[in-house]
This record gives sequence, C-alpha cells and structure tokens, in this order.
Amino acid sequence: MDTLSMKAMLADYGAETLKGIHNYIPDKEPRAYLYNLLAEYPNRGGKGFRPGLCIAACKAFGGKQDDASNSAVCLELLHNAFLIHDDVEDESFFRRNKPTLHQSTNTAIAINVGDAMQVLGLYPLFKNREVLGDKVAMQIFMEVQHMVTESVEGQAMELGWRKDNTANLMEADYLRMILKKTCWYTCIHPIRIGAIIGTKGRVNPEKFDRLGYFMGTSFQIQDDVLNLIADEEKYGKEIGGDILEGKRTLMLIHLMATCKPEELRTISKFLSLPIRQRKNADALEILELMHTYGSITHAKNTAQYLAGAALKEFYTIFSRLPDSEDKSLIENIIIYMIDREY
Amino acid sequence: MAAKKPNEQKKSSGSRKLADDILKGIKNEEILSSAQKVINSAVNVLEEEIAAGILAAKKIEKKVLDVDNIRSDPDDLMNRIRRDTHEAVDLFLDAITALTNKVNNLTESENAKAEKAEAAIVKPSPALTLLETEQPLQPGQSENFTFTLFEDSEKAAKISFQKTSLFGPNGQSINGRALKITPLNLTLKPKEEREVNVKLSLPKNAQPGTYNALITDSENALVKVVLNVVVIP
Repeated sequence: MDTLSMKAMLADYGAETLKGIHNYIPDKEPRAYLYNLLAEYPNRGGKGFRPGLCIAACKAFGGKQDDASNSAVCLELLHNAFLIHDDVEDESFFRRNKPTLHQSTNTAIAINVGDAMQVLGLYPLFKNREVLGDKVAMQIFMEVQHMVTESVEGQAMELGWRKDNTANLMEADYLRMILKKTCWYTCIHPIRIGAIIGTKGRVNPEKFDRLGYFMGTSFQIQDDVLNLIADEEKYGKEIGGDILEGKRTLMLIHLMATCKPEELRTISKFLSLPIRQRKNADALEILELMHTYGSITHAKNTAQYLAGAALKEFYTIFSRLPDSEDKSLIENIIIYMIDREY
Repeated sequence: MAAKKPNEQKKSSGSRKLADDILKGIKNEEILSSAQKVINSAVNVLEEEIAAGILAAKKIEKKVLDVDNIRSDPDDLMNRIRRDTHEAVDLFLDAITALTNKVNNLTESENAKAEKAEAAIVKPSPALTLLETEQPLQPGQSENFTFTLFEDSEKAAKISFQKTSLFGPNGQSINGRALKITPLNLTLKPKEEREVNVKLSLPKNAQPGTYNALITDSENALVKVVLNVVVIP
C-alpha cells in the first residue's frame, strides 16, 4: 500500500464518519450559533487518523465497519471539540487553513460549540448498546472515559507549564505530557476500541498501549517539527506558531537544556510575556537557536526511533492476523508518520 | 494467512521495504544506544502512568463503593449489586441446581466451613466470579479465561483449586479434565494480586447445550468461580 492508497482509505473512513456525525446533529434551533457551526466544523477535514485507526483495527480483528461506526463518530466529535477548545486555550489563529472558530465567531460561542460536540459524542456511545450489546458498549464507554480524562490531564500539564513559565523540563516530562494529552486519544484508544469491537470484547486492550504510545509520540514530535519547518499552505497552521504560543515542544526543551545561560534568560523572558506581546522576530531568533543547537535534528531522530519502536510493536501484535488492507493501513500510518511533509 | 493478490503483494512489499529500512537504520550501532535510551525512557513513563491510573481508579472505587463496609452487610450488598452480578448469581444458582451429588457434597462442606468461620469471626460475603465466552464454542474448540485473586487481609493465604465437571442439559456432562487451571496451587501474600488462567478444551464429542462448572478453593469458601459455556453443533 502506498501513501495515496492509505490517504484514500482514511478519506473513505473519514467520509463515512462525517456522515455519521451529521446524522447525530439535531435539526432544530438554535442553528446560527450552534448547530450550523457544529455541522460545518468537522467538514474542515483532517487526516482522519482516529476513526481510521478505530475502523481499521476493528476490521483487522475480524469485525465489520458498521460495528465501529458509532465509536468512530464519538472519537471524531470529541477530537473536534478538543480542537476548538485547544485553539481558544492556545489563542491560535488558524486551523486547517481557515480561521479558528473563536476567531471567526467569538470565544464564548466557540467554547459553547465545543461543549455541544462533547455532549453529542455521548449519544453514539449509548447507541453502541444496540449494535454491540451491553457488555462491549459499556467497555467502550469506559475506554472513552479514560481517554478524555487522560487528555484533559495532559492539557492541564502543558497549560500549567506555560502559566508558570516552567523552564526546567526534562524529556521525560514531555513524553508524559504527550502520552496523556495526545497518545491516548489519537492512537491508543482508537486502536483499543477498534480491537475490542472486532473481537467482541475478547482481546486484552492493554497490549496495544505501547504501539499507540510510540505511534502517537512519534506523530506529535513530527507535528511539532513541521510546525517549524513545513510549508505553511500544506501544513494548514501558521509556521512557528508553537514558539509564539510558548508550547513546550521537545525542541524547546532540548534547546533550553543545551543553550548558554544568557540565551536561556532571553528565551525565558520571551516565554514570560503574554502571547500577544511576543514578537515574531524573537520567535525567529529562538528558531535559529534550535537549528544552531541541533534541537530540530534531535527531535527528528527521536521521532524516528519511536516510529521504529511502533513498527516493531505492530509486527509483534498484528503478524498473527490474516493479511488485509486494514492491517496494511495501520502499518502505513506508522510509516507515513515518519515520512510525511505536512 | 490469507492469500494475497499479486498487485497487493507488490504494494505491500514496498511498504515492508521502507519499514525494514527504518528498523535497519535504528539497528545501526552508532544510534542504537540513543534509540534505546529514548525508547526506555518512553516505556518507563508509560508504565508509571498506567500504574498511577490503576491506583487512582482503585481509590475512586473505594470512595464510591466502600467495599469493606458493604461486605459486612450482605443485605446492603444485594441492594447495590449490579445487574451483571445478578445474572452471575442466577447462573451460579442454576449451576448449583444442576450439579451432581459430588458438587452438593462439596458445597455442603464449604457451607459448613463458612458457618464455622462465621461463628468465630465476621467474614466478608462470598465473592463470585463468572467466566463466560462471548460466543458459543464448537466441540473440539478451546478457550482461555483468566480471573484475578486479591488477598485483602494482612495474612498470606494458600489456595488449592478444585473443579467440577461441566454440567449440561439432560444430565449431560463433560469431564473436568477439559479444564486446566494454572496455577493449581498458589500462596497469596498480604495485598498480593495474582492472575489465574483456566483453559477449556472441549472434547470432540461434546454435545450441544449450556454447561456450567464450579471452581472453588478447597481451603477458602470465599473463592467461587462459575464457568459458563454454550456448546453448539
């Protein structure tokens, strides 16, 4: 399977999931500042990793796509809710080549739409009972409960670092934050949920933890690298925006641990300013320092090592399953994470 | 392994080559140690977080459902018992009804022990575990089950499992040899948790029907495990 086929499969699963999302949106007022926005936001697209991993894992383990569709809808709704709230918290300007929702409406409306998306995500979990039975449906409910808990804890860690202007972070701190904020909900739980559905609850979901963790961390580090060096149009977000936002990336942590004391003071001073008072020129200077001290290369290497570890986990777990397009899809998502340009 | 079409094989081998290159790159000795360091550090973080999550969940369970308090009041326990446990109790009762004299003798002996124990000390209510397959099995098929034992007292406990045959409809039974318990004997230290595996290997001549077997600890009436399996032609 090549990258194009992988993207086509993800697009198919994404389109089906999007259709499912629209089925769950109430056709009633208030439309202008709630349901219309709620319906439009997921149309912005995205890579579709979460529903893709969930459906592919389900099918690779012998399940049917329809069995996983409610869970995929829930995952995608929660993901979109996280994005809307994340953009408010980060004061971001662009998301998927469009102004962020709070920029195009206002902060209050965006938060409310995000809240509505979270609540809407509960109903497909309830409907799972009809398709999967009480036991598996409840198991998936608890998977989602854990997923959301971990994600908000990870977000709290990162927001706390920014608020306190924490400057003494170690790589293990970063790995922990990414595990909690990103990995559980981007990779670990989508795969776990898919496998639970595919096996009708007969798989030990913990066996996918390392695979999803290595995949998710590799993906996030790569995403952070691309934020600094990618083509802005392809990437869909402002380049270098993470530095302006003061995001504690692996590159920033590496830089702060290796640069000279006077440079560290300059960086700390920059990070202590409110976001809107930070200057682009200063952010570019920090980017230059990241190049000088090899922070970006270090992050790229780390992402590569973790992707390799993810591949090894994948082969260990999935090699006993019959070959299928869905099994190849998961393998190719891992490979894509290493090779992608945006 | 399912057979693949030639073009799929070609595409797949391309992906595999890239994957091999990545893994080979990591095996390069110069970077192996850095890779190992990163992966070890990552794994440590994951294991710590999983352990912290389990601990936090147990604390919440303790707050939401005060197990010790409830166990001391069996009526309260019955009021709070969950639906799936009701089902388990029903199945347990069905199983008991269907069991032969051998099982009756066993349960009577267990009850006698429990009554004696109650006279001396207030014991927690029996814990019942239900093992069942999601799907029916066919004759000749195998299935693995696991359950966990936790010693919540301050004393070590010796466990020696005993099992019955699997009892089905119309007096049919499957010999207990079809069940393999691992470990069969164990000692649980205070606060220790151990996983026990039960492998069911249905004989090829097993008759269709719903079967139940009872697994107990010969030393402790609190351990009762009911195994329920549906055999289809």
